[in-house]
Amino acid sequence: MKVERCLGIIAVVVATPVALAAWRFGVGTPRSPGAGFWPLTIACVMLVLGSILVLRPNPDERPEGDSDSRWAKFGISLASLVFYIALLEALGYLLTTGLMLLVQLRLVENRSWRSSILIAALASVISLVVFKVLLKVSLPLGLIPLPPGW
Amino acid sequence: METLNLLLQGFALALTPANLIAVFIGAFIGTVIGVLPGLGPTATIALLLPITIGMEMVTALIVMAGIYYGAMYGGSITSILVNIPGEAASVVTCIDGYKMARKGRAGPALGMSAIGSFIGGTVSVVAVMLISPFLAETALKFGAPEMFALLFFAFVCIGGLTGKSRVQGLLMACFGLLLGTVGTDEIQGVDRFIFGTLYLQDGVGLIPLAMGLFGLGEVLYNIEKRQSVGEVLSTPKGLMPTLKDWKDSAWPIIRGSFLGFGIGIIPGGMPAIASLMSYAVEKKVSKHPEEFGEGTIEGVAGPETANNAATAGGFVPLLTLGIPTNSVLALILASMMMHGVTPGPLMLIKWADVFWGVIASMYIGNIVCLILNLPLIGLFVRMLKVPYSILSPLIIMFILLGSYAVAGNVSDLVATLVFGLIGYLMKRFDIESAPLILAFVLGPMLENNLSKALLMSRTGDPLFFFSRPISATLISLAFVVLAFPLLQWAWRALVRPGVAAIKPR
Amino acid sequence: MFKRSGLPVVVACFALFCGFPANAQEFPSKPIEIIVGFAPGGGTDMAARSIADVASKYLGQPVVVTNKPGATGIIGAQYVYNAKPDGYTLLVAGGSETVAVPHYKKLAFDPINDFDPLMRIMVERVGFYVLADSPWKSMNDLIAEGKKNPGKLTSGISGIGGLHHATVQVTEKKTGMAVTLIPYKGGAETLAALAGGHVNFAIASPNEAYALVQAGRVRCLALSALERSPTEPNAPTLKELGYDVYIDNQKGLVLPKGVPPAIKQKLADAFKKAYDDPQFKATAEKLKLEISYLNSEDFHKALKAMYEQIGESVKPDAPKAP
Repeated sequence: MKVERCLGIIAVVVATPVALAAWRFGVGTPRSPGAGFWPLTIACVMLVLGSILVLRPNPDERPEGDSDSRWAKFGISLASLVFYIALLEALGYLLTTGLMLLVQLRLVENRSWRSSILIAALASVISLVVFKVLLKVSLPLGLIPLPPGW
Repeated sequence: METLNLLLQGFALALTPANLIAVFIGAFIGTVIGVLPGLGPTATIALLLPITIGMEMVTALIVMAGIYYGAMYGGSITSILVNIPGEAASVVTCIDGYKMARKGRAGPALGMSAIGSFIGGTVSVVAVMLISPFLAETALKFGAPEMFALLFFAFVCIGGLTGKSRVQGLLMACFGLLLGTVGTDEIQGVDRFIFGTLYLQDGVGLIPLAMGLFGLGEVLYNIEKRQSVGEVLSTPKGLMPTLKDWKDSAWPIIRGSFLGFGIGIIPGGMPAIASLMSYAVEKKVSKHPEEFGEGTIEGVAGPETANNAATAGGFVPLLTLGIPTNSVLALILASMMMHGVTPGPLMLIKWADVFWGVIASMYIGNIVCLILNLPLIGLFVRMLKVPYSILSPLIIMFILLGSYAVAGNVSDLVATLVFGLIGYLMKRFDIESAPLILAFVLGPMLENNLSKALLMSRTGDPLFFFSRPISATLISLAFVVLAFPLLQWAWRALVRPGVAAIKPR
Repeated sequence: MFKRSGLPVVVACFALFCGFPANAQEFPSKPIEIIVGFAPGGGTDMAARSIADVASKYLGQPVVVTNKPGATGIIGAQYVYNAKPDGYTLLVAGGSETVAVPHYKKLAFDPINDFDPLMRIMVERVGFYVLADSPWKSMNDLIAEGKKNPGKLTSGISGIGGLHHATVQVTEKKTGMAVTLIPYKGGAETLAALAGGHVNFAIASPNEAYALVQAGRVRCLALSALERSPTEPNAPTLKELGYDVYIDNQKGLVLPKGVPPAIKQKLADAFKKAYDDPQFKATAEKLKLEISYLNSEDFHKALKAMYEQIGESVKPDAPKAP
């Protein structure tokens, strides 16, 4: 699929419902433009630009070299991020960050178990101490409370 | 002469041991939080507020000011080396700074941004000192029509901010504008494109957008395509820019200083906007605009100068009118009130010593920051200098931590992930992200000020913008810039062939 | 988006596994969090921070202020609404998010009845400001102009759908004037627009306007309060002028509904002690915060009254809060 043409199609597909929604917000009067005036303008410009990209002949497209893609690692990495977001407030910063780092270090970056566990533990504890304890950033503690007095 | 006397008194106050230590602490903390993505000066100063109450008034102000401009210095380090904005005002530095780093020119990029920051900061402090009260009055004249004219001018300048394909660049700008319309409309109160969520009522956040598009997108791309092991962080060898760098950066730094100061004193003018505008202006006036986005030093020097100039500029309306132009300055105002000092026109009369002490400390502070960011930069770079297989997971950790810490909201993390995926796709298919982010920041302001100006005009007549001197000048300038390529084209298309046709005879 | 409630099973399991029973004798056994629905630096935030410092003395645990800004305070309110009612999470409420926003937006909760007010800490007055050399010498002048030329006067307000927006609308309804609203982001920008002469009058709180008033740049025509304010002693109230308008930006602590009475009592006692502490009073004095205590019941009544009054003007046909 050609990138430019694809982008053009996306633009048209996005702009059409936007234009319709903008019309519903109300375009207003010259004295007091409605909430829909600006998005409608943008959507119209997008429709024009998108159509140009779709219709105009696409010249030099780069050939796509997919040979060296590492989709498995990409997928694992993405999954670890999704889990991080889903579990952060339930499990707390320390556990979630540690687990996410472990997955990244061991499965994505292929480091040894020993160094992965060590780095993940160190990084999550140190960042918790620096941000939560010293800088008082609000991070969820979750299952592991801070030792008393901290 | 009197100014000099007062300034000397100010230096006497700023050079007392306690205040000198305060300058160092402020500048150091500022640089550190600038380097750490997500943790910005607003959050830091909010956390330190209770501590500042116990301090002497001047000392407290010196520390807080130091954190503010220190963050502007530190933010560029992360932008250049990791392609994550360490601070919102350094978003634009990612574009060319990071490209420079990839070409092995991280050193000059870091060096020039520190030097530019120093010059911008210092020029701005001089301006604050000399013409504060006068300038504050002028800044107040910037109402909605003037702001609209200024933004319109900026947009026209950005128009050329597209790389390979103009249509594609404009389309990305449109996506940015569209993202900017998400949330409750500021004039009518209508919820636009929020899909029933509370989170989107305030619109898409700049931090998740920038962190996702620049930071996470880059990391994900490297995970999929592992082709740049070790390239992401080339150790800066020699920070001194070459003679050519100096020549290229001289004008951007000069322009950035004045532009940044000007933006800083306008209500609502934040350092982030100053750096974006500077980038747009540099690209427009450059003789080789096609090099912007490919790692050109002007794209680093100008914006980094401008954001520092804007921080100092912001102290003008704060100290002379009691009007904080952004949230950091609002916190500084709160702290001053706690000490029983009311900034305003009386500040220079009733608390002259405080005013001059702070001004003097800003001279010293900029020197401290320069030292921290040139000879001692290794200290901060080391924070970011580890093998990539360790660094990549740590960068992810910082991106997530930073996105969450801004407002303690998981939704920000979701947004960062979504934009990270988009950033990855854009990177993979070689689509420029600069027009998107610039349009995203400036678009809502353009719309807002246009609506306000039209409401004020009472008739909705576009000629209203020409009835006011400042907006008339700016809009006319914008049309000149717009018309320029047209004239050029007309010259080439009509006159030159004619000339060429005549010549052979 | 993802919420805690999206993972009820996981949360429930862990809560069973290592949850601590809320016991009034042991309360508080961990830090208490006060949520502020606005960014650091504003009046709400300063009030919360100054009382939090003092209250930790009486509670024996740290009292932490967390900013969850967004959607005119609704994001923070929503967070507390969803929080466990164990007394460890409080909200600073009583302003826009409680009495004004629900009339402009549909919310997932009832800001009056889904929270349990603990106490009122302060009120922020709402004032009508004009330039010092403005042709309108009094509020009556301004109202007369607004009636004579409907829509000609421009009014700077901070934010659409907030308390200041509501104040103008209530005043329009009660006086018969009509103005054009120009919304700005926050009090500082609104006042800058007034000082620059870009709007005819502005709605602002006296402590935000203090510097400009002291400098003789702007003056206050009237307040929408019940009685005159020490910060603006010369400004009459709209009630004095014969208009039935009463709007204060109240700031107090509220709990999510369902906190055990014994724990609520403990919190109420501790925060009352903190309120009476000279250290808190001194900080409030410096920040020009108008502290004004109301107990749980009276605070609830005051909120309800203001909510209904705004509702009558903004959405005349809206159902009343039960």
